[in-house]
Amino acid sequence: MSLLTVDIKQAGYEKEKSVIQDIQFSLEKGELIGLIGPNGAGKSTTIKTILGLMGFVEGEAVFQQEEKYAYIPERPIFYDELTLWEHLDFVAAVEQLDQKEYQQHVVELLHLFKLYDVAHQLPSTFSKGMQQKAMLILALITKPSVYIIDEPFIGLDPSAVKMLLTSIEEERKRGVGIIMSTHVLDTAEKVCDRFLLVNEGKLAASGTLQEIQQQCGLEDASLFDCFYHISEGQNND
Amino acid sequence: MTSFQLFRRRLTQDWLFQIRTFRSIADWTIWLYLIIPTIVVSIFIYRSWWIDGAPTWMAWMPVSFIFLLGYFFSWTGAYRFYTDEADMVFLIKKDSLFYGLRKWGFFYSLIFQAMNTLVVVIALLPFLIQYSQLTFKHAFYYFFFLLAMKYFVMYLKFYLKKIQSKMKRIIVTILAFILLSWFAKIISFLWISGNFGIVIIISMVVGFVSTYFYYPLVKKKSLFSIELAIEQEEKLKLLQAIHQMSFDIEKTKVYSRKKPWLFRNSKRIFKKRTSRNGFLELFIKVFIRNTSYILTYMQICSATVAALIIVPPIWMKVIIFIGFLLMMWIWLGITWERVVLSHPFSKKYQGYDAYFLARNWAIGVLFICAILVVGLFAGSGYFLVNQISFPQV
Repeated sequence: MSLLTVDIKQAGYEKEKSVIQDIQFSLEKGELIGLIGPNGAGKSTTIKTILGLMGFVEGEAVFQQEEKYAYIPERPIFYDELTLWEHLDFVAAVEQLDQKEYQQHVVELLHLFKLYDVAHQLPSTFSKGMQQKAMLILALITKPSVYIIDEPFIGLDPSAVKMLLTSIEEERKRGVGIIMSTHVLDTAEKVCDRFLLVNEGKLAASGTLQEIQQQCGLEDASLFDCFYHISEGQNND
Repeated sequence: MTSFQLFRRRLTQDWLFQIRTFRSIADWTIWLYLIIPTIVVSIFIYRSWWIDGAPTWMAWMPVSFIFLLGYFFSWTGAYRFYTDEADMVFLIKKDSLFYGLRKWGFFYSLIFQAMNTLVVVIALLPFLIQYSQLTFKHAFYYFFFLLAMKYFVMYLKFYLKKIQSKMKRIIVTILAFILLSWFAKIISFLWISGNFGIVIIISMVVGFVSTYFYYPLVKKKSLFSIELAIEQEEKLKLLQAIHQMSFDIEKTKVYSRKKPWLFRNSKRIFKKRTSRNGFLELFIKVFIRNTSYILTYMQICSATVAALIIVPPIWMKVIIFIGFLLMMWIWLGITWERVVLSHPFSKKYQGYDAYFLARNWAIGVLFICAILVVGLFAGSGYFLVNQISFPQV
């Protein structure tokens, strides 16, 4: 059974005002799917629909029973009054993580992402990149089966990007499924197994790079070229 | 567009913004029942001070108190250049427009503050002339000194804003306030004893030096960010004052510290790490560290205590207490939702059983604490009031 099955007929903020239509796909174990598309194409709406945050949804997004998921938003969200360690403690307590294992794991992650020295500081005072890394650690400690990551590379320095990609790779080995929305197409081309190309609220193309190339009629083209072909081609129509 | 046209447009926009801000709280009912009556009554009272002499309550005020009032007033206001953050993109490249706008803003600030000072002195005139038996000459030199002080503080504020460390800035501001108050005190002695020559010379020197040294800063682009911060503060002054006074709007504090004061190094409240304790710990830490929550909690309690002591009939005390119970219960519920439910970080866990357990526990404990605090203080207050015997008039 798939980790996540999405069958959105239409969805939007209000009834009769759908932003996205006809988006179907499934996420398998260990798979990394790249959700790409131009600004305003419906990527964030697709993610919000999966998370159950949209006011009007016709269709469904079903996680495999009792599967845990973690969402890493584009704009990191923290409590202004809590330290990073307190955020981690909260998640560990509520998710009932084994305390010994959690303490060990969290120290490793904080060292890995170079946040150990600032763990007792308020993340609201961190830089954007540090906040992104903190959000990632908060997701990683829960060991979810599905990650939904929105624009993970924005604000990260190259070494942090490398760490993120390494973490993603390790999580995939664990059998985790990942949906990643991004504009960084060259990186996405290298790491993703499949792509969902959303344009004007619809799934314009989907599949592996080769399948996308075939759908575009552009043999050996890069993901960037396919993206450009589809987004501009459809807009010109 | 000339720099004057740009300045005029920015100034008009600012005035409209301030008017809109004021209108946001002053609808026709406020005008009819509060503002117009206040203006009319104020005019009559002011007129009566001139015609019938100063009121008796002025008897306890020494003349130096007027200087003190003026001194406090001189710390209000700052130079305004009507610049915006977006000016960093375009306007800053157009030297003549940019400097022109700042030049007009500089002179306008001087005139505006002079008018402000004049209004204050006119408002205090009955006290000076009627009660203290001083002359118009005194009032004239008082105005001059006040204006010079104001210009100096406007100059000083720029340098205070330049101090990066918040703590250092606060300490330096307090020191400057104390030092200047001594200076004002010396001038007040000279002024009362009629040494107007020295007062006017000092005022002119202070006023001239303050403006003379500030003017070159108008032509410095590198100071744009500091002046922008002052500009934003001045622009939003009225809005923030309304916000502070409004009981309906809950003030959420913006944190600028890197580490919190309480529970240093993320110290845990509960040793046992259950889900319920996780929610509770989060709520308690946010509630305690965010002063707006704890202050509102104490505000509701203290207002109830005061009402219970002051209002005499017992049946009204009962009604007030029931009202307090209802209000506190509802407010605690709303606060829990604001802290836990309306935040995306914890909202995810709203379906957990522990969420409801923690909610009931937190609201229940804070509710009982509030009842105990109100009961204790209202009881002791009532006892104290009954022990003190007032002399019969």
